[in-house]
Amino acid sequence: MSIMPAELTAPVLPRRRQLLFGTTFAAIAVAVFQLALVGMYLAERAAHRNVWLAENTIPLTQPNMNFGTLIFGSIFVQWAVWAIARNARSQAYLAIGCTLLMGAAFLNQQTFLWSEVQMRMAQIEGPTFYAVTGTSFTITAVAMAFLLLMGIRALGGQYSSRLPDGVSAAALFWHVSVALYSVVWLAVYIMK
Amino acid sequence: MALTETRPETAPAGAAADGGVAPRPEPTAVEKVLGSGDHKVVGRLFIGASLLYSAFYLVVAALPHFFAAGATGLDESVMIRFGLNHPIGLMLCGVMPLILGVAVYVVPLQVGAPSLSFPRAAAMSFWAWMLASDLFLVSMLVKGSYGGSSEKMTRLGHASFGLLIVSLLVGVVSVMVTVMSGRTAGMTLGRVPYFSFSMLVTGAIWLVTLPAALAAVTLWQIRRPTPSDLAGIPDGAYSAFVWLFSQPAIYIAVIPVLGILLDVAGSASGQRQRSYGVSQGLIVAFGALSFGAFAITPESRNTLIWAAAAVAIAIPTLGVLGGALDTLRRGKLNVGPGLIFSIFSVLLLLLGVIAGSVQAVSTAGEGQWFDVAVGGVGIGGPGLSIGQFYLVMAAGLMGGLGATFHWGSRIFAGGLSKGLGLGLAPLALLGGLAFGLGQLIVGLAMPEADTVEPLMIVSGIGAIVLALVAFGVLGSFAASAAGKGGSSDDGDDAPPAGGTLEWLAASPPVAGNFAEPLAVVGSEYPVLDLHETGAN
Repeated sequence: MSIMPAELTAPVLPRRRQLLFGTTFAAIAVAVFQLALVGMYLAERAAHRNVWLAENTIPLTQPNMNFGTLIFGSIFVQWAVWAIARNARSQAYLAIGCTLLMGAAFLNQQTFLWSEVQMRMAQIEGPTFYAVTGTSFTITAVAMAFLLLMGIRALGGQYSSRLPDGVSAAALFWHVSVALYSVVWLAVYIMK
Repeated sequence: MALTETRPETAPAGAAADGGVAPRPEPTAVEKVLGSGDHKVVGRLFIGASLLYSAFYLVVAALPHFFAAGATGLDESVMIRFGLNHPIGLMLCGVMPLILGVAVYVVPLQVGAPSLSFPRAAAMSFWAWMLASDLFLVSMLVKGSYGGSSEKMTRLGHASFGLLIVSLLVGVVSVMVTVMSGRTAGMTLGRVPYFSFSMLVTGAIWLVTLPAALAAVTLWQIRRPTPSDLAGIPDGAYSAFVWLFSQPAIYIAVIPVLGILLDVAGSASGQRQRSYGVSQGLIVAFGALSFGAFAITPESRNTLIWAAAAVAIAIPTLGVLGGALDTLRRGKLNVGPGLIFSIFSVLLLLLGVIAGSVQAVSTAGEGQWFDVAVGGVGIGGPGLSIGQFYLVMAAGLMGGLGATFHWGSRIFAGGLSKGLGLGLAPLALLGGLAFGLGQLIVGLAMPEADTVEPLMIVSGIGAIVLALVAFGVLGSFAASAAGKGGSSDDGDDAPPAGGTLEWLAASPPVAGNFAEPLAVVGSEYPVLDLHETGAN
């Protein structure tokens, strides 16, 4: 004999795309914040062109590796979205784990880059350099935390093909963080 | 339950009897206020606190005017701090949170949602805003914030300015998501009530404007600015975000004023707005023209696009005013304080837009076409720019007051006192006019110093009058909250009811906002549809 009642009402779903909309709006604000900082960095550099980075050398290896790492992360996180939409849970967890690994590699590489550059805050370049790169670091860390939270909730069964919003929202924020890093990569590391 | 979900406002009946979890004990009054994610509680808190701060910062704005007019007994260093900090207080502690508070309360009702999206984020927004406002106030009073001599207090004021921006952004995102994803069945974006629609536009513009100011604040926090930097020297932190208090960015605080007027006009006349989509388009145009993050540097405020935007913003303002007047003309008027406040609000805004247009035309290109004193908020001296800022802030405050009166019966049973509102509205108009006109005349006529002093007194008195109005409305708000206010003592007629969904909710709304499931919405005015088809 089944212990389930004869008629079960369907569980109430969260409102449509609520988390996606919220993430989109938050991502817009974050993007404007980062882009404004990049603009200030470029303005500061233009004003002190003669002495800019005269005392320091920014190697290209770490920024390039970082960019590649984040792009791989984008591929992995999109794999997670694809998998959760098809109820391929094991694939989704694997993809989320790979994305987090890429994020951790980025954070590690970025801290190594800071130690390599050895820029002091008292230098002219210091405040804007650390503001721009530190914000990029923080955004990626937030994207990782968001993805981890959504991964745990997916593990609890909250997200599936019926409602993939959480993983999609985390993926959206990840993609935005990668797009913003591409601007930083170009403005700070390539166009020195 | 996750952070992003809404806690049920009531426990399911009979949960314990069915062998489920026993209902939690009834929270105390303090717990209800501090721990609530109910948009109605958060909205009321936002409105009440921002009214208090509006009144306070209007007094703070008045005192430097009296000092400039030669008043004795006022400390110069304190007046410098008040002069530099009152624009931040007026805008981010007064007008913007007042309108956001009304939105937090009204938008879910207007779109037929049972609650605000991300209600705990909205509650966090309020408490973070409250903390930031308090810290900013304390730092300003204790030799800190911009222009202060205490380095630690200066940094505290600077950091709390950043927290103010973040908290307002979190709140407006909750409102925007409610409009985007919480709409009831049948309510397309084209059918969203004007106030909710204007909050969607407002939120979009805040999202692309305020983070740019936050970036400047962050950079200067990293730079560890000294007090002399923050006092407003050309390379200082203050000048890095002073663009927020100049056109076009000042208009971001008053975009919802247009939506409020259109909704109030529809309610007061019982008529539908003609060309609904055109009016929505005008609100979008106003919002787009108020985008100010491109005009951060002084050079960027001397370009053709800046001047053209400053003049063009008059078109949507006039269009909305004309549309509202047309709606009012067609119906049988039910004149209430909401209507009077909101019409006066847009008139003040129009005057501010004209002042901005004169300023833009004068300074376009090389040099000046004709002699005016542009001035600048905080560090630029008296003139057109400050007068325009004061007019726009007065317009925003009056729009918020109009909304509070109009939707008062949804906020508290019986609403706010109609007689008091009708008495305060003309006073607020006079106060707002005096507040801005004193500075405008200085900017346009550039009189001698002995004539400037009386004009400073006029501006100062205007600010005091507006502060008294804000205190008066706060008193009525508090009385209604205590169950002692409302229009019942006015004895004449019922508060106006409109055609949008909030008028289907009880006064005040029940938990979940609507007692019964809503029917599919078939037009912009579903309640008018119900009346016209004879249904209840």
